Order: sequence, then structure tokens, then C-alpha cells
Amino acid sequence: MKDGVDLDGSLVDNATAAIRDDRQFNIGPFQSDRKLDAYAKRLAERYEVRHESLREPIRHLSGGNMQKVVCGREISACKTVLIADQPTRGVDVGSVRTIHDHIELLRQHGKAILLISSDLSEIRTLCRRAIVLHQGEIVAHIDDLAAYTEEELGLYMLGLKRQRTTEAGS
Amino acid sequence: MKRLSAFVSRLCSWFKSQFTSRHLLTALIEGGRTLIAILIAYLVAFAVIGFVSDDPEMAIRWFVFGPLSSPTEFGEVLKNATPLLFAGIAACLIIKGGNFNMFTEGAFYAGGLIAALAAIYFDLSGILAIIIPLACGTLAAMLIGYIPAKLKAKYEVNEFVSSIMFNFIVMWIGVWLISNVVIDVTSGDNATAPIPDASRLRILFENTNVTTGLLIALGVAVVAYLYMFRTRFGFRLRMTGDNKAFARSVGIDVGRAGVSSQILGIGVAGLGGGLAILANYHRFNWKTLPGFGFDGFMVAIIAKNRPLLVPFAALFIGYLRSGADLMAFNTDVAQEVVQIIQGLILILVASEAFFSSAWFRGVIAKRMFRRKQLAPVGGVDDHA
Repeated sequence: MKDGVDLDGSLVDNATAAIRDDRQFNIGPFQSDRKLDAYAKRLAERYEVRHESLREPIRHLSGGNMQKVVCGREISACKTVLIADQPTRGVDVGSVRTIHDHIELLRQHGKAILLISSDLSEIRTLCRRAIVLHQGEIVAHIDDLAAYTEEELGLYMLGLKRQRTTEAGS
Repeated sequence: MKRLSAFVSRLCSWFKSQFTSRHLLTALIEGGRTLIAILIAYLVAFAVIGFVSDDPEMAIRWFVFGPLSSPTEFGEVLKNATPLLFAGIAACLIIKGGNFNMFTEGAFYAGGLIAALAAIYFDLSGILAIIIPLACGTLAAMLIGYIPAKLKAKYEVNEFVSSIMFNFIVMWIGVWLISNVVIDVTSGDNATAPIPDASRLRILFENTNVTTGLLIALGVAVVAYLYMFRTRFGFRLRMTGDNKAFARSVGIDVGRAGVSSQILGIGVAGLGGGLAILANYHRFNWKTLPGFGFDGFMVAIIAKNRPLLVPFAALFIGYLRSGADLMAFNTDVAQEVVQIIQGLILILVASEAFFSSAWFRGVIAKRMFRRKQLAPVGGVDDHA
């Protein structure tokens, strides 16, 4: 929350922070409030951010809604690579789905996504390839995630099983 | 006609987005807090006056109604408010950028001195006689102000301390200059030669001391508002000031944003210093720091760091000062007591924590909205 949002800033400020320098939002030195508002509104609708007004400070929102704003901002502004660290922790179930759908969409557009997560089901829904870490060490490189069962992955995660070093490739 | 109706509907939706019920409530509470603080401050002031004066009624009358009694007196209010307006805008820019650079004080001094010297020694005519000295003063202030700002950005030197030091360095260089180098011995004072008439600002209203400086000040307030809230540079400035870690993570160069906010604020203060000299002084003879820079932070706090509210805050402080001056001049309340009263009022008005927001909000919400419960925004049912 420290790095993700400006608590005193409005919903618009926070939702548009990553695309402020985009040419389409600037008219000479000035920013187009109308376009920025529209952008923020669209983002809030897509990610189901519950809010009263676009201008209220974002600290009035709940933590889950704040996180939706952060996810929405970064996913929408993604150019080539997205690094998502626990993107859905603390978000309500319905919104998890929304965020996942948008990350999925990003992948279909050919963007590279590095997802860091402790939620196995999240990884299984989103990822094709995975690297399993156990105590900071790579224990498995998995190229075809669907072929593995949760039990197998669990064994890797617990460090009970590991690929041979050549296989793990590190 | 169609464009007009489109414009009106846009205006309406803008107003709607600005003034939701929660917004209105917040604005009411904030405004109410300031008003109540002012009210209490005045009551305390009246009590003090009652203690020290033989004719408190008269003193209070001068204090409260004196500044409004005639156009000339109201002109004094506006005259007093003008430098405060510059200082307030300067402080807004600096505080919003997340810094506490006190060099606005030295900037007033440097801006005034350099503007006076440029006016005297360049000896220009026409509009240039005003523009060039002001530009020189502003630039000089910005150049000196760059040092503490850059030190902060680059080496994490506390800008509060270094800028106060710079105030004194600048002041003593200035005092040395006007006592030794650019002194005009015929003045009988440590002062520069007279400022040529061509460089003096025009009086706006007859029988007052209000000059065109006031218009420039209002212009600066509007420009500062546009800069801070309508441009991408202002966005960077605000985000850096609110939350540096966040600003950095969305790709803002926080060092540059911090420095530019300080430089701009100091430039505004320098301009204010130049205008104060060209408007109200025949010679430059400041031998101490003028105090406007410090006052500016107070004005900014009263105005809640909003450039468009700064003129009102500056006007209020100007009114307070004029009333105090009139009371000291016309009644038995000594100037020192007036200073005490001013201090009390300013402390009360400026102390944000005087009414702790949560407590006060609770009282207001309970009293005013007992029937209509305010629904929590965002919902608490999110698993957050």
C-alpha cells in the first residue's frame, strides 16, 4: 500500500498515474481532465471498483478496492512486460476473477507476464510455465503446468522432491 | 446553441463530480473548523484587550471594524495582503512538493534587493523598467534557492536547516551591500539610491496604496493552480509530495519534481519580494528578513495548500494586521500586546490539530446526520 497508491490522491490520480505522460491525455502543457476522468471511470467499471465519486481520496476505499485500482492501472498501462507480485491477495472472490481475466487478455495480446504468487490455484489458472522455489532455491522448472497434479507441485514446494540440477537448469 | 447546451451539461456534471454529499460534508467540516478556530481566537483576543485596555470597546471597534471603515483603510488591507499572497503561493508549491524549504524568506529579501538594484542601475523606461527588475529578482532568488533544493535531492541534506542558513547568508550579504557598496549617503540611512519613478508600480485605486502588484499576485495564484492541478508537471509534484515511494514506482523522477517545486516556490517568493519593493518602497533598506516567507507557510496552512484559497487566507491575515495596526495607533493597547494577539490568533487558526479531525467529524456527523446514516463508501464486506 505504501508503494501502490497515494492515499491522499483521488481515484483519478491513482488510476491514471501510469499513463499521465501519454500524448492523448495532454493538450500542450495541460492535461485533459475529461479524458483522464473517462479513463479512470472505465477502469473503475472494468475492475468493479466500488466508489462514490472519482474525486474522493482513495483512502476512503477499502483495501480490496484499492488493490483493484492498482491492478487495473498496471495491467492497463502494460507495454511489454508485467511483473505481478500477489496481484489478488486480499481481493474479494468476484474481483479475483476479473483481474485474472484481464491478465489472461494481456497474455493473448502477446505480453510477457511474470506472476509471483503463493496461491497455487491462481498459478494453475494463469500460467503455462512455472518455476517452483523452495527456501529461495529453484527446485523445479515446469514447462507444461497442466501435466502436473497439485500433489506433485506440492511435493516440490515443500522441498520433498526436486529435479536433478541439470533438469532444473540452474 | 447546441455547443452551449453541451457546455452547460458538462459544467453540471463537473459540479456533480466535485460536490458529492461526502465532498460537501468534508468541505463544510474543514471550513467550519477554520471558522471556529478564528472565532475562538477572536474571543481570546477580546479577553486580552479587555485586560489591558481602559476602553476595550473602542479598541475592539478599531480592531474589527477599523480596516473596513474607509476605502483607504481597506486599501491597507489589500496592500498588506499582496506579499502574503505571493508567500502563500510559494509555500503551497513547496509544501505540496513534500518539502519544507524556508528559503522563501531569503527569496523575498534577495528578490527585493536585486529588483531594486536592477531598477536603479539599468535605468530602463516604459514597461521594461518594471519587467526587467522583477525578472532579475526572481531569477536571482531561484538561482540561490537551487542550492538547498539540490542539496536535499542529491545528498539528503535537510532542506529546512540549510534553507534557514541560506536566509541569513543572503540577508547579511544584502546588509553588507547596502551599507558599503550600493549605499546612498545622502539618504542618511543604510539604503540604496531612490528607485526611479519609471520602475515604480502604478496605484490601482485613488487614495490607497494598492498597486498593480495585487493583480499580478492574483494572476500568480491562478497560474499556480493551473500548474499544480491541470498539468502533468503538477501531477508529478503532487504525487511526489504525497507519497514519494508511490511516485517513484509509477515512474516519476522524484528528485527533479522536488527540486522544481522548490525552485518555482522560491521564484514566486522572489517575484513577491521584487513587487513589494517596487510597490511600497522608495529605496531598498531592509536590514532584517521581512518575515513574509514565514508568514507564507501560515497562509498556506490556513488555505489548506490550495492556491485558489490562498488569496482569501492572505486577505484575512492582511485584515488582521491592519486592524491590529489601527488599534495600536488609535488606542491605549500597546503594539506589543497587538503582537501577542496576532500570535494567538495565528496559532489557533493555523493549528490543524486544534480540532482533531476524527473527533470533530464524529460530532458533526452525529448532530447533523443523525437521521440519515452515511453509508460507508466502498463497502466493508470486501475481504480486505
